[in-house]
Amino acid sequence: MAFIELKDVSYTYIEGDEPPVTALKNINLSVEKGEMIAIIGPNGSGKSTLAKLFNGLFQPTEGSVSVGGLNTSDQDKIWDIRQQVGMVFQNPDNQLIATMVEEEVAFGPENLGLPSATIKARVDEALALVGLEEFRQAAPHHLSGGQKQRVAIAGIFAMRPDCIVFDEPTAMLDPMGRKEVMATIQKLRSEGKTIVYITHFMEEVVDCDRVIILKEGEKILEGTPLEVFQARELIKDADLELPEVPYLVYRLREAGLQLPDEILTPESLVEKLCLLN
Amino acid sequence: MFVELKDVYYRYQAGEEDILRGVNLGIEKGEFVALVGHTGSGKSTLVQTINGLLRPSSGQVLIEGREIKEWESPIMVRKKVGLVFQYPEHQLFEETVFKDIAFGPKNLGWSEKEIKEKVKQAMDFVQLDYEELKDRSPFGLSGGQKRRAAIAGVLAMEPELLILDEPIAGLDPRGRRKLLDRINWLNEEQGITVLLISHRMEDAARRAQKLFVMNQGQIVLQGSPQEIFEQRDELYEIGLEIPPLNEVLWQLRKCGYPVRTDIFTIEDVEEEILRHWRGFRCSKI
Repeated sequence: MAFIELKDVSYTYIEGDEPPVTALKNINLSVEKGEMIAIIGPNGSGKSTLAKLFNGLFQPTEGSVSVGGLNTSDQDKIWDIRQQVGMVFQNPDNQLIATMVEEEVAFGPENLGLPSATIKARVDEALALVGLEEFRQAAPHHLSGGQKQRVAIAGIFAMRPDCIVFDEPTAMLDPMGRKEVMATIQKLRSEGKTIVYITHFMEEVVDCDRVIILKEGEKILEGTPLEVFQARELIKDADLELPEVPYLVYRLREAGLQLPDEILTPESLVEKLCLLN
Repeated sequence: MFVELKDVYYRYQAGEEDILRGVNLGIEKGEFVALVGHTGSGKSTLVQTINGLLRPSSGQVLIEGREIKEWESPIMVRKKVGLVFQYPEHQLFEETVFKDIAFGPKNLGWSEKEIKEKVKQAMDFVQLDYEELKDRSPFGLSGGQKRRAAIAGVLAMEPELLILDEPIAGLDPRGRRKLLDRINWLNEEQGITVLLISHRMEDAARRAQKLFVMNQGQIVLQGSPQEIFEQRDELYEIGLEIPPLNEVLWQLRKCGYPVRTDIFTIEDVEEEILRHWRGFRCSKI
């Protein structure tokens, strides 16, 4: 059994007298320990709803979600599950509450009731991981967007979850902030964390093990980044855009250039073009 | 010159660091220009001096040749220069979508009938259904709809210069493309002058005729997108990246291929590579 398993999951929002809205339909999905998967889809495709199912913030309307063998609908186990699966959201301003960076990072471990020496060690370790040791006394609201998001990541990391779900963590950041956050996620990955990465930017999924594309609440495609990038028609149908380099490679191949199709970055395209001569 | 900034300095309080440090900039009527620069470079402060929200500590901001501080009222400046803030949806506040969009026009002293017409036009333009949404609470709209409602509120005042501060942040690719297409249309068909702030160099390059690059409170580069992307190393130094396709061309040139680096659409880049791919041997790999 995989670490996280979704079986025939559907989710319907029911609010007052409004007609019910089905956000997810028959999703089957498994995530192995240590894997990094990306979930990609346009606004309204059900990505954020899916994210909230991973740690029991939402319960599926139909089907089941299990984490480490525990069913998320088992209310007795919900805190065990949330300790295993942490979440980082889009807007860092909505996630930060303390007046000092180190207090912010200590907040989660404190709530776990850990002894203060352990909390301190975990805060040190988490701040080192995200590269913000020198900001420990700083006020979170004085930091840049990328730094704030790294504080949020450190706070989750300090709780030692096995898996972290990122729900569009770069949507509100500039290119520099986005780079910082992406690099931090790669570090978490090398620490062995399981990563679920939700985005609508295809260029961000290049490094993932597996990519899942959602459209109108359904899983329409699953595969490695390379496999997914080949499915140009499906990508277009899902209102997504192929990153520019793979798209250029596709066009050059169509025009008769003998390039391999596994090119994703400017560097590898240049290398392959040079080899052609 | 429609808008002109002459040696503009700005600091929040005396004794504090200058946010703007001697900005000179000119925008002609009907132009579509873009302002790029990393967070904290002064972009948002700069545009707030153009619609009179912030008054420069020194230097001049002129609209149609007249300094802003000489205008009879700030409302007249804001009628000319509409500013859409970053995450404008956070500023929706009225009970209904109609009232929110009508807020600006009401301050201009227009009649009820005129206001209704302008609101309807603005909603049509941003593709919000007037009949369906006018009486709804703006807080019940989707993220993309909220963004468009907020933009409609600025458009309803019929500004001659429209400034948008990161209007596409947080939107998905289709939402981004649709919004930028509408802005292009405003510029081309309605003759509205546009100043776009964007993190995404490729959008700035493909949409604008002219780019201004800011760093540490100054305009450090300006010119056509072609001219700006020729300055790849200078852009890197101030924390900006050229679009990935231009990066491909740059690296090819470093490898010894005399490719052009002043192009930025996928069609042009494809053609350029096809023209050269047999030409020279790469020595570095």
